Amino acid sequence: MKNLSLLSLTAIAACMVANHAMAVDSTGHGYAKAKLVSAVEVQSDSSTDALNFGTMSIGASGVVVNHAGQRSGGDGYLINDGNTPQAARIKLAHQPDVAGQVVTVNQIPNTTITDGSATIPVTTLTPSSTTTTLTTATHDDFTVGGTLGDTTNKPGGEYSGSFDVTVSY
Amino acid sequence: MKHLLSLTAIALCFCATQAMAASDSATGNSKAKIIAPVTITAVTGASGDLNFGTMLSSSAHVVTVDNANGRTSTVSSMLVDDSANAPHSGVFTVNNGGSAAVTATLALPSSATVSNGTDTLTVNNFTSNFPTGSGNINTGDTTVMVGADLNVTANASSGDYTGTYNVTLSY
Repeated sequence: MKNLSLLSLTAIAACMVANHAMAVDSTGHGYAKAKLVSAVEVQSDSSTDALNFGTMSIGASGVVVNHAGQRSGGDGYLINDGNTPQAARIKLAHQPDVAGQVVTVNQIPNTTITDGSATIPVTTLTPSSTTTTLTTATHDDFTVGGTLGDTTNKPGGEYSGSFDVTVSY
Repeated sequence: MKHLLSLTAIALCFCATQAMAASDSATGNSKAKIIAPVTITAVTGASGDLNFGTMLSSSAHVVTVDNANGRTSTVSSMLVDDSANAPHSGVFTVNNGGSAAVTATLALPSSATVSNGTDTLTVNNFTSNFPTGSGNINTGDTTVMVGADLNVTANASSGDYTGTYNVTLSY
């Protein structure tokens, strides 16, 4: 009986050692996610959406077209004709999946308009809003106004150019 | 009658002898070490899900969320700054209910997936702020942060992708 008891205790001890060598695991079940959205495209039609300072005589300076399309300045050199001033229209084309996304219009750099070798600066390009919250529509728009530089000593003609609009979202 | 009584006495004596067995005894010792469990539990929701945030898939890129809520991409222009879906590291709470620190190792998955319907993206290169190899887990609660890479394939379908991953603490 004694021998049997001793063997039994030995077996239990061995079992305990084995258990101690086995690591205990605890597993956590985490969640991962991501949201993929379609891109927002900045569009502007040069034939219909251009920032247009309208018609003026040589010598006009500081002509402003605000983002509502209203023209001012020009020191009396402004001419009202069929070439109606307007603000630029910028279209943010997008899919409905980005509705609610806030788009920020970055500062618009100055540019120039030219006719041949003649150049006139365009400055203070200002959007109607620096942020736009996208809707479920296919596009959301904003406008851009600006200031035309001094036309003194510039040759008459039709001046044109472009400016870059960058949005972040 | 005398003879019969004698037989009865012998029988009783025999029975008594049977009842008195030889005995021996020994006192055995046994022991056990019981330790409080250490558990690791995911913090769920916006404050605990591993969230890669919002992004474009116009071109293939790899989005990395580190274990401190930071996010980068191999094509940074693909990232969308969406305050309603801010990137976030995965968060787990490790609880040591015992009275002494425990040494443990944390095993991260080699890869996992997030999916949206039949579209699937691979998540890999998991990282954590738990010490590489093994580390001590003090008593009470400890927060473990997990990061990973999301491999966005070019022109992957738009939508909300979700998935799960397991981390295992061994001690």
